[in-house]
This record gives sequence, structure tokens and C-alpha cells, in this order.
Amino acid sequence: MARDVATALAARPIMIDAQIPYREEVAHPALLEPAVSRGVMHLEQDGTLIRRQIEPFAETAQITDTQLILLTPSAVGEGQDTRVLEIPPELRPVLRTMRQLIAEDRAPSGVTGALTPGMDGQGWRLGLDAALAENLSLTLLGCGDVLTGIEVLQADGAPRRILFLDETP
Amino acid sequence: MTRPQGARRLAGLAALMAMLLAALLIWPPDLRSDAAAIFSDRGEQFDPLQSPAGRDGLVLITGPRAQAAASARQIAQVLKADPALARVQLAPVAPSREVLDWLFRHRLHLAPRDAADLRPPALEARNHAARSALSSAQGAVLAEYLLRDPTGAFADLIERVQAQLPKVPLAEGVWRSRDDEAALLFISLRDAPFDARATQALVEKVSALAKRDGLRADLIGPRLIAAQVSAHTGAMASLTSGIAGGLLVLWLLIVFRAPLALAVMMLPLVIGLCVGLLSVQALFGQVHVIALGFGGALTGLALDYPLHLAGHGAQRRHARRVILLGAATTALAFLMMLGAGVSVLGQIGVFVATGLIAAALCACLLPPMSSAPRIAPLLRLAEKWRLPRASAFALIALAALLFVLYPPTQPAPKADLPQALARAVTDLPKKLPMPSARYALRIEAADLAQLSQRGAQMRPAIEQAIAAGALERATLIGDIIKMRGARVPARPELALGDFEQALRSAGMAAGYASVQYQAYREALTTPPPRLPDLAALPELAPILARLEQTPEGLREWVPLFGASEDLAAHLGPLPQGVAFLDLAKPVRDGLARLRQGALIWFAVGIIAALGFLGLALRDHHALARIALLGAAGLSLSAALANLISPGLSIYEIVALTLLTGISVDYGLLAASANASPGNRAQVTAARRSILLCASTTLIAFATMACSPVGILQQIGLTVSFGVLMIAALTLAQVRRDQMETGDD
Repeated sequence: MARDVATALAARPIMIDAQIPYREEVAHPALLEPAVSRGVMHLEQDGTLIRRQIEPFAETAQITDTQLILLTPSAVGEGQDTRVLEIPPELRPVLRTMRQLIAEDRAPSGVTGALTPGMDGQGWRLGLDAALAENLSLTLLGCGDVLTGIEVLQADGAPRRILFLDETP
Repeated sequence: MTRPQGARRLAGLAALMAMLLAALLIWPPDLRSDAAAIFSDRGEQFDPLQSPAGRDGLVLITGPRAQAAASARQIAQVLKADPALARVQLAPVAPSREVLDWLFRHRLHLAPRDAADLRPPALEARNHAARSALSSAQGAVLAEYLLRDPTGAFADLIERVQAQLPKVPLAEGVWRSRDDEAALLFISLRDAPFDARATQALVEKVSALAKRDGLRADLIGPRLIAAQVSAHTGAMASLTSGIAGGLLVLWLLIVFRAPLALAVMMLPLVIGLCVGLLSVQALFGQVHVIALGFGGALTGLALDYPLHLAGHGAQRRHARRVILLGAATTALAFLMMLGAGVSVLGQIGVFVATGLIAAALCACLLPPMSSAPRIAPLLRLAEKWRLPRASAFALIALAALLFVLYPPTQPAPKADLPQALARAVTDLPKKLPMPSARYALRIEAADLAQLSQRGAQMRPAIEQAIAAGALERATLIGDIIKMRGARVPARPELALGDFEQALRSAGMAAGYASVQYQAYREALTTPPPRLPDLAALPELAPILARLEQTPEGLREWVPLFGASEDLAAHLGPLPQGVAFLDLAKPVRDGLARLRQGALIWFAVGIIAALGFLGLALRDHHALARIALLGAAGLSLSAALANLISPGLSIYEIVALTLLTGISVDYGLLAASANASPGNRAQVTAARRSILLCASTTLIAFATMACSPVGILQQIGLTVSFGVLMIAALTLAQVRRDQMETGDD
């Protein structure tokens, strides 16, 4: 378990070739089991988070402060099909924190939370302040100084969990 | 005339000039550059610059990715604050939560479902797709909508809206050209009449911003190009006028060696220009820039009058008669242009006619020049100048032969693009797919639902043309909005059980069916959207910019990408309310009519001028000689102009009208010399006048012929050739007359 909140906030995911392998699990009232996807993430110089999904289908997403740009090979002709979506304001602080946790050497400023032991008795969980995520609950999962995942509990109570892996999918 | 008399007249003329200039300052002419003055008088009104597509534009910022993207962002910020612009976009705009909610509510109106969409397998497939969306990065934004709508209406709708985005890559969050050389910024100008100056100011502002970042900006779009061409032509015309003016002043200083006399000589010209401007403004309520441009014709003649007087020295009385008669004859020829019924031609006629008469009257009131022109070497040359008697006939025959060998065709409308802009336009297809500048479709309908239906009816013909390779792409509003009518089709209607079954089949939680069913019921009872509702959605702005509200309903302009020349044939018969437009045709036809009108009324003007001259001279022999000299000069100039640039343009026709005026003046001088046998001074005065006037005209128009602007070149070459021919023929005629009367 991390010694304190500051140490937990300083934890970073494992990087392989400057990329972070991940597995994402999304629960929803319409689903009997969570939907699972895998891929890698990395951060561009301008702060854009690139999420390259490999399974269950290939897709690249550029995530900026306010927009989500999905690029898929064009169904007809050359080039790529682009789909642009506005990130809902309530999700923006979460994504900003995620980017900070992945990219920056120092811990996100002005963030506090409650540190508890991990579910399986190993590692730690850091539930961040409600002010950060408004109607969402954001929890960091870690083991020692390694950030192993992020859990977002959405307004409808369905959890979305991103687990950082130590090997590429 | 005594000295005090001369000074009083000069003061009076100076006061008149001051009053006219003051009048122009108080009532500045309403300068227009609209096409209506060229086209409207014939009933058919179409000006591509006033169409929605004419207001669209593209800014290319050429440079490395990061630098160009940063510059594009800054430029976009500045442009967004500019009231002249209605839209500035450098990257796809994401639909906001409000827009997504709106589309979700109206989904069954905008994307009505067929029976096949509502069958269990289709609902199950949509549930699968929505579950996949949860795994996607878009899951947090879109999945909730997709899961609640297994009919697929929302999914289709969002797909269609997003398909409207430009098919170009994104780099550093900004659209980038396909050749990776430039950042792209899409803009739309506000719906206001085209103002070339204001648009050019916008172009210069953007160029300066890019230049500050060490980059180049090219602005492309119908209005943007028109403004740049106009500014380029204007700048080149000013430069040419400046050079020509400088050379003229230098030449007149060499000839007269009296700067004050030079200033006095300009008085009739300035008064003539002022009178011309004020007359056109008073009669037409505006002054078209084309009419103003042909003030050059006035300049060419009005400056000749004081030169004729100076050339005549003591023989001023003869010269005055010649000037007044010449001015009246030329004014009559120009006034005939009023008969064409085309506003701009009428304006040219009134401008030159009134200006010329005013200039001629002022010139006649000028006091005598204190210094005589010094052109002795030219005079000696002219005294010996000979041409065979039949040379005028030979030139006419040569012109006829040239016309037979190179028959005049309809000249293609040409634009003189600045070099860098021309390159940018040529390279554009490498950078992004562009709609045809020539062809478009126009769909007219009573309301959105009918527009959508007519678009759907048009779609098979478009697909047929695409399959035949005659078209790459066309996007209709009906492709996005597929409204069928005022009500959502009531049958078949889904029940709660249908949703439960579809969820179960997809391996999902059947309990969620109640959420889906409730959303479905809400969509069924939502009233249909109206145009103002759509206008509130910024994401639809580029699409709705192509939509116009008309008294009859709505009009949509459909841009066509990769349209071939024979596209109309491939589209076949069009559904009701749909028209295939050749955007260039109205311009081509309008210019052809303008040219035809100018040619006909030019001929009528010449006949009227000859008739008037015949009555005034009462000397058929002299009249025939003037007509012969003019015909030779004019026909060969026209033939050579046609040889250099196939087809006689409107500019060349008006240049020929100017030559008519010059040939009448020179012919009258020759006739007056011939009418005074034994008066050697009169003959010398005529020669001196012709040489002086021809030299100044040549200096002005030969400079114009060297201009890089096509229009100026055409006018310059035509007048230069013509004045050379007419002067050469007239001087030879004077010499022949002199020999025949034994004065030599």
C-alpha cells in the first residue's frame, strides 16, 4: 500500500515502448456482463491522448480537452473516416486527470482523496474528491508506486474500469 | 484674345473644375461592380457571387504541420471576431449534448424507419452494435443514445451528419491538405452584397497574419478570388496609368518646355471626367466600374483637344471647329450605346459622350499657349511621309483576309489571377476534393419534407452518374434529412415485447427494454422539426448554408464533386423541382449578349456619326475620305486584335469606338487642311496636331499594352495599332493632297 495520498498520486502506469497497454471493462444496465476492450494508449506532445483499441475491433481515438476524434479506415475510397464527438463537460475533469496521471512527472495539483487498501488486500485504492469529477466517482487503483488502473463510477451507477497492463495485448 | 481675357477664362475654368470636384466630394458616385448591370436588363438574373456557394471560401496556410496549425488557430480566432464572416472552421465541430439530444428526439422524423428496420433481426443487430459502441472510445458519449434506440434511426442520423465532414486528414487538431503542405480553414462570408474592397481587406488581413508567422496564406473561393483579381487588376492599372502618366508629362515637357501650360492642358480632361461621372450618377443612380474604366477612352480623346489647339498655334479658329465637330460626332457614336438596353453599355455611352463634349467646350475656351510645340524632326518626317493611294483599300483587304483566315470566335471570359493565386488554384485538387466550379444542382421545394423527398428522388440519377464515372460525389440535404411528411409513419409500431425479445436475442439484459420502449414512444409523439430549429444547430451550418428561403419555400444548392463535361447527359431527365445548372453559362451568355449589343450599337453609332458628319460638312468627298481612313485603321486593328487574342472582346470593341473618335478627329484635320489650298501654315498645323495627338495616345496605350493584365493589354494593343494606322494614313493623305494642289 502507498504510504500516503501524495505517493499514490505520484504513481504512474507501466510503459512499454512509450505506450501503456490497457484493458477496459464497461458495465451498463443493458448488459449482462461488462463489455471488454484492449489496446494501448500514449500521449502526444500537444497533450492529446491517443487511445488505440485493438480488440474487439480496431479504432484510434484522439482525445483532447473537449473533443473526441475517432479515426477509422474509410469504408469507401482513400483516407480515413472521421467522427468527432464533444466530450461531455462532466467527463472532462476525469480525462484531464487521466492525462496528467499518465503524462506528467508530478502529481495532479489540488487533488485529494481517501486512501484505502485494495480489494484483494494487495495494493491501494485512492478515491478522489467529488469536486474533481462532479457527478462521477473517480478511483485510482495502484500497487506500490505503480498505477494499475482507474475506475469511474458513472451517474447511473455503472462502473467503467481501465486497467493498465504490464504486457502488450 | 487679350491677356486679361485669357486669364479671366482660365480662372473661370479653374473655378468650374473646383465646383465639379466639390460636387463629386459632396455627392460621391455610387461605384458598383455587380453583374446585374450586365445581365439584369435581359431578364435572366444569376450572379454566382451572390449564391450561397459564392460566399464559401478556403484559407490554405502553407507550412510545416505544427507551425501552420498554430497560425491557423490564431487566424481562426481573429476571423471569428470579424463581422464579415458567418462561419470559420479549422477542425470538425463535435455535436454538443444539446444537439445529440435534439437529434435523438427527432430521429424518427429525420431518419424514418422502414418495416425492415423494425423486424426482430434488425433490432437485435442494432443492440449488438450499441454494445460494441460501449467498448469504443465513443462509448462514454454515444453509447447511451445507441443503446436506447435499437431502431437504428439515431445511428443512421449521426452517421449522415458526420459524413458531411471534409475528407481531409487532421494534424495537430487542424485540417491538413492531402499533400501535407498546408493547414486548411473553411470559411463562409456573411450573406451581404459582394463588396470587392471589403473582401480584399479581409484577404490582406489574413495574409498579413500568416506572413507574421513566416507562412503564406492563400484564400480561395468565388468572392475571395473575384476580390483579389479586382485588386490585382486595379493595382496593375494604377501602375500602368502612373507610368503612362509620367511618360506623357515627360514627353509634353520636352515638347512644350512649359510646366504651367501642361497643367492648363489638363483642365479640359479633368472637367470632362467630372462631368462624365456626375452625368452617369444622375442618369443611372450609380456608376459601374466598367464604365469608369472606359474613362480611359475619354482620357485618350479629351487630352487631344488642347493639343490640337496648341498644334494649330495661330490657326486656332480652324482647330476649334474641327474639335467641336469631332467631339460631337464621337459623342453621338458613343451615345448610340444607350440603344443596347444594357445598363453598363449605356453608362459608357453617357460617360464618354458628356465628358467629351464638356472637355471639347473647355478646350475651346482655353487661352492660346505661349510656347509652340517643338517637334521639328517629327514634322520633317511627316512632310516626306508617303503611302500609295490604294493603301487604305489594301489595309481593308488585308483585314478582310485575316478575318477569313482567322474567323472571330466567342472569346472565353478570362480572369487575370495574380501569379501566386493562380498557382494555388491549380494545385487545389492535390490538396482536397473540391466541388465543380461550373456545375451544380438546384432543388426547390415547399418545405423540408418535400426537399428531402425530391433529394431522395434525385439520388438514383446521381448514383447512375457516379457509376458511369461522370461524377465523384454529391451530397444532398435529403441524404441527411430523410423526412417523409408531417407525421412519423404510424405502422408498424413496436411493442414493449419486441424490445425485450431483441435484447434477449442479443444476449443482453431484457429489463432494459422499458428504457428503450419509453424512448421510442417519446420519439413517436415528437412534432416534426422546422427549418429555424435546424438553423440553431451549429453542426449543420455548412449544410444549411446551401439552403435559401424563397417566397415559394426552400431552395437547395447541391455542389457536385468531380463533375465531367457530359454530366448532364448522364443524369438524364430530372425529377420535378430539380434543375441542373451550368454556372458558367449565364456569365458566358451575358457577356455574349453584352458583346453583341456593343457590336450592333457600335455599328449604329458609326452610321449615325457619319450621317451627322455628312450633314455638318456637306462635302461627300471629304466624308468618304474620313470614312475610308477610319475603316482601314479600324478594320486592321480589329483583325490584328483578333489574331493576337481570338474573338473580339467587349474591351476591344470599346477600344475600336475610341479609334472611331480618333479617326474622325484626324480625318477632319486633314479635310480642313485640304479645304485651305495654298495655306501652308494650315497644312503644317494639321500635321503638327496629328503628330502631337498620335504621339501622346501612343505613349499612353503602348504602356497599357505592356501591362501584365490581359484586359489592359487588349485595349492597349488595339488602340496602339489603330492610332498608328490612322495617323500614318492621314499624314499620307495630307501629303498627297498637298502634292495634288501643287503646294509642295
